Amino acid sequence: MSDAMPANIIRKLRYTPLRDLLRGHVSGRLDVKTTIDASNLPPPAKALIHRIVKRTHLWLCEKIEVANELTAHFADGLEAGVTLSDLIAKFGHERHAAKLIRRAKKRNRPLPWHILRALTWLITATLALYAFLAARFLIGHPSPKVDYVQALNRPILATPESQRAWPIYRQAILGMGPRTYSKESENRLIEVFDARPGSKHWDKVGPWLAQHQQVIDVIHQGAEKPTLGFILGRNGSIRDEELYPKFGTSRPFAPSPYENAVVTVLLPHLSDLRILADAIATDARFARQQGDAARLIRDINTLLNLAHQMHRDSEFVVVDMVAMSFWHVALLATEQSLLDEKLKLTDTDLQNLAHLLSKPKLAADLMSFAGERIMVHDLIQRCYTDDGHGDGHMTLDGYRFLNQIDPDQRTTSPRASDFWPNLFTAAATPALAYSRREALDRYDRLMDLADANLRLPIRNANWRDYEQRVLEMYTDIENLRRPRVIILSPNLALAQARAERPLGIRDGIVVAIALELYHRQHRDYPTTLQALVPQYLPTIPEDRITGEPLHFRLRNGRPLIYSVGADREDDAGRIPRAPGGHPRPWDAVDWNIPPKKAPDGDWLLFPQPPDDPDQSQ
Amino acid sequence: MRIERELMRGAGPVAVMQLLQSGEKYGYQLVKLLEKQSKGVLAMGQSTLYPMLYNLQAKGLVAARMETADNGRPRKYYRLTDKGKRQLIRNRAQWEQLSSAMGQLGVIGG
Repeated sequence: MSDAMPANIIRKLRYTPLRDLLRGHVSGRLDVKTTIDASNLPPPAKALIHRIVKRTHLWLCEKIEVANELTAHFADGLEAGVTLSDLIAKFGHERHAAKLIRRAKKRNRPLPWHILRALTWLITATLALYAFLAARFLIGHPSPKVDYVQALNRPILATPESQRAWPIYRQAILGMGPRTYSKESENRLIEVFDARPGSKHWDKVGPWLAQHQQVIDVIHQGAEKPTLGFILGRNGSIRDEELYPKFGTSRPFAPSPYENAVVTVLLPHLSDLRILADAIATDARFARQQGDAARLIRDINTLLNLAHQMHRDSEFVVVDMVAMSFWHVALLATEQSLLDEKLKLTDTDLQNLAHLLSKPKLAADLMSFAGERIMVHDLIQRCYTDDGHGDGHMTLDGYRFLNQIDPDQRTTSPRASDFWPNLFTAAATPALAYSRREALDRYDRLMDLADANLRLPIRNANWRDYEQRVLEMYTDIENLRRPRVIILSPNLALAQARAERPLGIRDGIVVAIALELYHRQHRDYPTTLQALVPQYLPTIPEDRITGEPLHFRLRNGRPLIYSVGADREDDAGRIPRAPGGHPRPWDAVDWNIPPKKAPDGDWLLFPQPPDDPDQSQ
Repeated sequence: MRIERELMRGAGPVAVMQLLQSGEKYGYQLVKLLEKQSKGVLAMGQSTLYPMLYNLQAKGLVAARMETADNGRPRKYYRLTDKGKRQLIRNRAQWEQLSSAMGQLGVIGG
């Protein structure tokens, strides 16, 4: 008796709802077994009800309701004179009954429970989906199939070695001095290359050129070849022990899964070619100062050829920009020679120069975005799996690779504050990253816009759509979906503007050559440029800002050729100036600024403004 | 004759609601009325009836209350709610249309 009492109380406590307990009432009213046992039903009915209720796995309060209802049902049946066996037989299958009761009862549960259950399912399904995507991300491996470096090299390798300039240029580079870097030798070169007639170090130029005459001759020889012939990649021209001791055959590259990635291709020849171009530009200055027209013309030709070779072989913007800087140097050398009254270039020299300079019409003739596209296509094949149908998903290998080459990640040391955002990005990537096809499609659509713009004069190009899409790609969510490094050169509009500037200067020089030829024949300048057509010029070049013919006037008896500039108003060839009077010639060269907001002044094409602070641009 | 499960699934709730239209009833009472008034055609096992009642309750078509009967046993009485009454009117119209269509097709009444 003493043992039974505490057990009974504990059981009652266990089956008493909290509400009753709070009222101090130990009701035990949720005790299904006791409730069923308390009925006067025959044991088989009690057992059946008990089994059904147990199988429902409902909450206690629901079970007690079901137990009460079924108990009442059997009691009512027996009272009506139905036999127990009939009642049990008509009840139906007990497991089926329990299942249906469970389902139906759960539908009666309160709304918060349904919301919670839906949320639980949603979270579970999301976690399961994420687990699947994460596993796919971790397990998947990229399988690059296209060797883009080889594809870039194919036309170069198809050119006979005798037609390639690089084997000759390398001799010139070696002839410039030891390949080990020293600040002292670099300073000596800068003194010579930066010297201008009358400047502090000008007297060093002649001896330096005499000392390096053989090198200059070799550069001229190289410039006569149709192609540059620098073979890209780890096993290309960089494998030159003498020229590039760091990358020579005696120092094999560490094995890397990305060893043939276009983005890892090194271009050390660009700085070497820049030195060669500087040497030729110095020679051109010296030739002009000496009044040696033939030497000057040869130097200008060499600079133009060098730029052409580089653009022909490579389709990377970075290479084209360097090539364009050589082209610009050639333009300035031509301009200086036209302005130099002591130097008499022959009519044939001038005609040949005009012909050579006139070749590029649009930015697309000086640069190409094809290499950028190849680089990104190569990146994508190294980051995504390949399902054989042009699609796939981002992989951990790819994610690591993108982080390795991301300039932001490489140039800044990791900060503690970046830990959580970086962790979030890493965690979100498997779920949010674009598929291979989506990433490619989006990038290609963007580059199609850029390519279409490049084939137009910049005044007709529509970079707004491109820039809008780039901006959209730089939103936080897009950064998660498409790692930002996928867009390696977002500012292609600026690249086109950089190409249009020298093209504009070139237009001015070509007109100036035509005016000089006219002047030689007529002993006077024409009153309008129209008089030059067609004998001296096939057509008058268009103003690159307005599309109208270029403007011309005489100042102090010398021709002035100009575009009306960003304000679209003829300011008589005057360049924009800052409030203090400081010249700001490049302020007139802006295709984006509304004319009313543009500074007063024209874009002077010939002669170039004497004090040009942005000349280096 | 036993009605196929799919047909019963559509007819059962309407039949129960129709029975509840005349006043509230408890489970066993509904079982007996269904059996008697449909001459056994719509008789359903209690394993079907009670879940059906709970479903109607979840949809707000019927409501239930517990009451202690004269013999001291608790009983659960079901009644039609206003929503249930409107639903029954709609269901009845649909059944009439269905019956008429079936008659015109010669499926019934032929």
